Amino acid sequence: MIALEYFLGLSAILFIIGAIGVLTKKNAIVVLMCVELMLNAANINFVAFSAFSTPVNMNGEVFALISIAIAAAEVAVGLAIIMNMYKTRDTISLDDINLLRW
Amino acid sequence: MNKRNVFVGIAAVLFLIVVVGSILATQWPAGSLGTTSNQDFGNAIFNEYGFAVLIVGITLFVSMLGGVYIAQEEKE
Repeated sequence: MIALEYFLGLSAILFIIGAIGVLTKKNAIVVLMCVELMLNAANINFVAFSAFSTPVNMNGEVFALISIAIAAAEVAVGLAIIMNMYKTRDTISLDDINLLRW
Repeated sequence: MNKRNVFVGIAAVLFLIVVVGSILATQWPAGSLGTTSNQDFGNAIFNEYGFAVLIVGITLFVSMLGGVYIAQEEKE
């Protein structure tokens, strides 16, 4: 029997690892992977709260599945953008891509 | 290690302290880890949330088209 706090703590730690990666990494693919870590932290929260709810319902699991599908769509477009970036600029380092920076 | 990474690390540790502290300080409603069946999950996703599944499918299709359009080799 695992308490709810352990799930929430795991989710918080995963989210912070992802946030640190997004804020410090230079490689665009690593940043995309860290965004996925943060999304999965939110999914762990959804599933944990849904599994602990009484009476048992499936809303959290269904929402986690929809969230995973949206994450897949986001990664598809993001990887295509990174590929295009590499083709036109020969780099995926985010410090060198300052076209949209104010 | 440059200065920005140090600031990010300090902010991350503070954020972790705040989040874990609030998790531990909150009195969660008593409950136990319920068992869920795959059949209930299938019924829920296709009976109650069928329209959402359709919208997700359309979103995936459009994002696939967008990804292919962005990543395609342009002709000379």
